[in-house]
Amino acid sequence: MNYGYYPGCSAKSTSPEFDASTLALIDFLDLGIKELKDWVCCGASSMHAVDKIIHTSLSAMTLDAANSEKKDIMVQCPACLAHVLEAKEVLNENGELAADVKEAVGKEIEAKMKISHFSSILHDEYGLDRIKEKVTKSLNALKVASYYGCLIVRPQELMKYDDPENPMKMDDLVEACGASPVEWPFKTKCCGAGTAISDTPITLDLTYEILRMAKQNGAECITVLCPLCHNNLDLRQKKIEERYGEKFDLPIIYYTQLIGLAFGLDPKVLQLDRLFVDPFPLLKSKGIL
Amino acid sequence: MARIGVFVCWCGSNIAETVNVSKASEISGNIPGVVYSVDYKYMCSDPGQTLLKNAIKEHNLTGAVVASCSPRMHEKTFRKAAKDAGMNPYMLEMANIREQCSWVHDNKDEGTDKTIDLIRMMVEKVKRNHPLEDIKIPVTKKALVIGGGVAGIQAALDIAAGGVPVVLVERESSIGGKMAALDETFPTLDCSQCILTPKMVEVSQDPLIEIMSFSEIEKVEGYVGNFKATIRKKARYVDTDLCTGCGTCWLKCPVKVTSEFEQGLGKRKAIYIPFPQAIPSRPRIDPENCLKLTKDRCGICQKVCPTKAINYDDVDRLVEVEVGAIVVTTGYKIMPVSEFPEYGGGRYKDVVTALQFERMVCASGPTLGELQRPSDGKLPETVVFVKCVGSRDPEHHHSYCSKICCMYVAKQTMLYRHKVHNGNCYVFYIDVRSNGKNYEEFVRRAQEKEGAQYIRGRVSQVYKDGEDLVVEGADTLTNSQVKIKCDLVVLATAMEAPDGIKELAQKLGISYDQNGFLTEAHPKLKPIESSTAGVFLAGCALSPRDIPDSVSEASGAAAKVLGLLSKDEMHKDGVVAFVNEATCVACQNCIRVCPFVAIQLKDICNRKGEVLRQVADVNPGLCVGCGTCTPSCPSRSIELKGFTDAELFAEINALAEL
Repeated sequence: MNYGYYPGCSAKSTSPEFDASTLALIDFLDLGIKELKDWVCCGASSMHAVDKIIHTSLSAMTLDAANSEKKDIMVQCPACLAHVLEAKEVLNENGELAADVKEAVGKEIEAKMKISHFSSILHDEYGLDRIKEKVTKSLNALKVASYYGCLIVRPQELMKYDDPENPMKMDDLVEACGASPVEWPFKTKCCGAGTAISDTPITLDLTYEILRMAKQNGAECITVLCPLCHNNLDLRQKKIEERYGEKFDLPIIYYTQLIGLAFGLDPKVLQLDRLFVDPFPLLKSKGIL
Repeated sequence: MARIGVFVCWCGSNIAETVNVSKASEISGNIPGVVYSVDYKYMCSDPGQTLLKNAIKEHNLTGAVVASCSPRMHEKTFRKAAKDAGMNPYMLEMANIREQCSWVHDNKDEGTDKTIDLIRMMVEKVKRNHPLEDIKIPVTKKALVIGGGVAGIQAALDIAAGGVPVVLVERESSIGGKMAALDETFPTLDCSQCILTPKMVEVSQDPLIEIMSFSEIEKVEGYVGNFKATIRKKARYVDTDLCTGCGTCWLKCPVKVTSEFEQGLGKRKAIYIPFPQAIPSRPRIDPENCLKLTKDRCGICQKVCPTKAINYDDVDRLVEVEVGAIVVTTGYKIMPVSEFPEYGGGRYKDVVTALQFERMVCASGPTLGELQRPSDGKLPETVVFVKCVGSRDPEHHHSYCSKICCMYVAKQTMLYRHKVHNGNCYVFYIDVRSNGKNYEEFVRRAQEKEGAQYIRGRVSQVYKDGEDLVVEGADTLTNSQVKIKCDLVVLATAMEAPDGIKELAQKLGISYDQNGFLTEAHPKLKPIESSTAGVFLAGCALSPRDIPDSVSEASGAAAKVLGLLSKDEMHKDGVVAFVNEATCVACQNCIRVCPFVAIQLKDICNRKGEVLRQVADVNPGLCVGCGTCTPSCPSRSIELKGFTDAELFAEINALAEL
């Protein structure tokens, strides 16, 4: 394993708990993964729609940052992942756009490195069995709905993450930690992040459906891997409850936080206190804390 | 001495405009060996042919060259005329001065010179031609039909009606195919079984038809008129001669398993007939589920059988049949719902295929026609049909249209509304394709009189919300998103080539397309012939088809078979490869390159019968005269009759004026 960590801008701004819990897991499992020094914002969620060359160049610079440290890339944010994978593809296809990118960046960038999502690294490379061995505090059959969001599985040809209709990686991970994954149909339903600012009611409608469906299928909490999904489900949950007159009270917990809990890591280090929907009453009632 | 006649055709102005035909004829007359030359306006006309015949007789010609169009056009015509005049037809050659000269040139002088060159070439060839005889092949007057669905049944019946015996091979334990599982049929809503089972009975009662059910093709050898098929009769564990089909065994059998015929919606026993009207009405034991065969327990069927027909030691048996022609009617399979996780296929019991829906509404189905959804038996108050599932979807599945879904979905909406008068039914579609007799009227009836609500657009997702299924899709006519809560989703999944079709095609030496459907010899003019002579195709083995099309093709194939088998022997062009046994060293190059497996090794023995050596030997029945073998021979020991080296080099030398 020779990864450099590409946290992306969300981890450094709106979702520091995602960053903190990721680093805590890396540290605990002794994965030896360090943050890439010169990573660049991938330009989401607007640049890819505005200027192809700038958009690709931004991610190409992150590839370059990994090259200079001779590292593969570990990504947490699905948008970052999509964009670095896309840049890698563009550079390897070596067409007109690649030439433009070369000119914009001012140098030739080799794109041979491996690019993986952290959950894939845990699931496929570190391995579920080894994770099971590390669990000291079982998640005690906590009913968890794994919500992957729309980006991580699509387009399948680019992301190659998991079954785009019914991904299982997070389910498997939390199950290895003692939780009971909830079988539900909206694992990859869009949360509406794209219209969160421009047309908020659409986002509220979409996110409401996700919360409702998770609850209906027996979830006690939802685990996520995308900072924007997290925003919508966690930050806007109260607003949605008011708008629809329905109480959900569903903590939205990053998968890194849940796994960290199972490893017995300090909830403070995992920054569980930063979540808007308070997870502590649930975690206490389940005997996890 | 060669006495050759040259006949230069004007073809009206087609040739005469660019070629000085009289000059060509005159100069041809000076070629050594040519004793007669003439030009004529239309050589292919009756007077033209008479001119040829008379010249052959009057001038005692040993060979003739007709300089006119392509041999593909009129070689047969002129060779027949030559034969009528008493000349061996293979002593007549054509010089193509139309397609290969007048039509592609505009300079008359050059055209004339080229014409003379072409004639001279053919004259030199004809001088070296040998008289050839047509090859006569004896014909086995028996046919093999592979696949006992409605197409195979029709083909077998029609062939037998022509007085030719038929072996009908079916891999399931009963004939009937998919049609036996359908409820009512479009566009008349007549009961499928009511129209099919009489035909099945007819097959079983026809003395000329032998049904080999639960059997598969193991091997096919031979060639048109003379095929030898080896058929594997799979172990049935029931002696079909002793068995009377009384049914005691399957009544008493304690093992219940999922029924394939009921599309997984009903049960059958471990000894069973797939459906009550099965033909032959003889059961088979399913060895994977039979307690006796798996655990050496039970044995009840043997105890109760009044005719001692149960044989637990049964094994596969191979039988050989000799036939003159083969009809392949192997049908199709439909994609299972599990291929469509986006539509909840495989996850939700109430997402079913259209074939499952047929069983759900069929009076002989597992619920005896009482419509119940599979999960909880509830009467579905709202049903959503989704068309083009797997069809017309080149990104994920098949690019082709499955052709029959538009019609059977319209039919199924009617069947549904006839059962549930106040029920809601929605149909998601891309286009409605209803191009058959009374088809459009039928769809309109479903839409306008029977209450089916058609939504033009595709479905994005089917999921479960509480007890309901929810279908989300687009209505592209109103440009809006649609969300329908329903109790049952019916997916019109694509028709696919059946399992094992490629292996069968390889055994038969016929070709299939990228989708596994068998390929016709010509898409328009030979739609039911395969690329191999004597093997005919019909029904869904070719591509998705409805019942009327399958039946008409089956009758067509039967007519082809009867035509082929109407003569005692077949006549075949004399242009085949032959081996010079004196120089052949049996290197087997020709055997390796022959695409028709027409060459084998033959022993050369002395008078005592001891093998002295081996040589290549051409089976003239299989050889099509393609000539692939001749250049592969290092010692020029294999040549093509009518196209020998001597003949061809004479042509080239004539052109080079050597």
